[in-house]
Amino acid sequence: MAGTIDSGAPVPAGLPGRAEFRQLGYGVALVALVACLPLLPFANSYLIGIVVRALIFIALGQAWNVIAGIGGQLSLGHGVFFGLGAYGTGLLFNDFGITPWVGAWLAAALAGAVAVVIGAITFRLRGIYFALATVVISLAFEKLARFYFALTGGDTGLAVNFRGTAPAVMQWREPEAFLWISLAVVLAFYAVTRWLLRGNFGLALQAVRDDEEAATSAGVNVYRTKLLALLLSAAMTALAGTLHLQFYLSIDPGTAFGLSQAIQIQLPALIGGLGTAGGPIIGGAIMILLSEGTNVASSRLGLDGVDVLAYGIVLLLIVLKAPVGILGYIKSKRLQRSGRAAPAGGGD
Amino acid sequence: MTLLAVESLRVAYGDLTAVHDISFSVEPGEIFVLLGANGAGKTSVLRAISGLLKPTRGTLNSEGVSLLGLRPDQVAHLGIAHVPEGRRIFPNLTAEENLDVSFIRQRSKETLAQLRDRVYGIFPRLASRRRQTANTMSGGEQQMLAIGRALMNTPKLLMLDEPSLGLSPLMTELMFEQLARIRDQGASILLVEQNASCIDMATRGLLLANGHTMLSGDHAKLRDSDFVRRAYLGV
Repeated sequence: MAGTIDSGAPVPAGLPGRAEFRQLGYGVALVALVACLPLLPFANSYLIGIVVRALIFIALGQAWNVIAGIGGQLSLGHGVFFGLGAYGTGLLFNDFGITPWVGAWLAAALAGAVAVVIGAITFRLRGIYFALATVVISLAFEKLARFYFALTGGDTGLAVNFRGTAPAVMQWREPEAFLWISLAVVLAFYAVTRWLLRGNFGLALQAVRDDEEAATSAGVNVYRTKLLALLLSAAMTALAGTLHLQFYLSIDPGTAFGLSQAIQIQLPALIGGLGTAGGPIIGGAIMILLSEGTNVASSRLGLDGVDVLAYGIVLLLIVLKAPVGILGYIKSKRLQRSGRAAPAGGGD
Repeated sequence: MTLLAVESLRVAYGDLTAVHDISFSVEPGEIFVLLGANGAGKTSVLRAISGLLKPTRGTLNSEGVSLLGLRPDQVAHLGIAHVPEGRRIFPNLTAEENLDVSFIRQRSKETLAQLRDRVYGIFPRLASRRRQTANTMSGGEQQMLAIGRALMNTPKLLMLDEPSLGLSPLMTELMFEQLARIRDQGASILLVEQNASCIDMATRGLLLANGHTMLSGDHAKLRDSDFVRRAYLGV
């Protein structure tokens, strides 16, 4: 125990290592590349559109990662918050003329309020109640959106009144502006994730994820911590929902609240690395590349429909090969090489 | 003032009563042991004190303040720290982050660095592991970390649930020595154990069997009793 003499000197804390500087370099280069994409000679609306789709997808993954990855609370129905963001912004604009620049925040606040109600009911209970409640509430909102067609447009969905290129209401004919906005959102969400992984609130949240009982014994207010994390995650998800709405200019109940959407939201973090800052980014990028790649390949080969199958198979292979996500896989390989046991996940 | 007063405590899980009518008190500077075999109700007593479960009957007071109805985190902030059974560390956090979790919501006169240094003073091994993820640490180190985390709350009373579980006899002896040092630095200790060797350092204690008090008294009385001899031999 304490009597044993330890060989290694304590590592000075807080100093970034060489690897971290290199990672920072890659990150800056990648951001610069994405931001300058429209300037490149081969860039066109199609390519930029794919990148925008990827960025929105990544933002959703980052938002879900906050409550599920860092907080360990499995939300199977995050479509609720996505849908509230999209519908909220759209309805505020169409019916009240409120610009999405403001509407986005109001919709995020609404999503946050719904999140607090869900959390207040389910977080006092242990076990799967939270996960179940999110599914049930998703389904309920999908039905509501279909039923109140006078307000929501029902099954056909909600179409945003289009005014051409009008930056004041977050509308453009060309996708470049969305590229920059989505990139800014992804960067902001990345910063939020990094803060959670390092800061006091995030530390409490990770403690709750790792061992709820030990966390409460250590003085963490578990209920309040989970509630705040869900509020944050829901608001972030709603902001990504606004982006989706403004980019596509329409939303329908299935896309907004459907379970398939809720599952899509979970994939970037699961594929890339749950509870990590880089995971949703890597996972989201890979999935969009994969879905575009298989799509193009299958239509070239005249094998329509095979793309979805191929996409599913590759995802399955990743999950089988790297159950802790791509970043978790790389980390455990690295640890194996340095001769230590592989952790179950975590880190950034 | 009495640091912890437990009066007529009863804990039941549905129809099953785990703790029947238990009373004891812990005074400042004491090492008090709750001794007993598996299923004797020791853990239930600790969990009731720390707010992890609601007692069916009885009162719990610390320096005149009732603990009944408080959440575990509120009990921790009163200076009653619970080290639960089985090395409940946060596996994905580093050793230092594990310690820091206890500091987050604390209103302490000491700074984070001062508190960490005190823990590292007691467990130097943790200082050299501070940047290491807790799930890569050895069993003994994880137990030290769990105790260190509780010490970050600057407890008046440190409650430990079978800290010797799974440790070698040598490790166990060393750990008991650390507990004596922690007591010397001003914290009282409430220790739950099956391992009767802890009697040597206890001031007073209680022997539990099937949720009832079989024996209570000071160090000498516990040491010389037939009950304890039998428990110690594992009969």
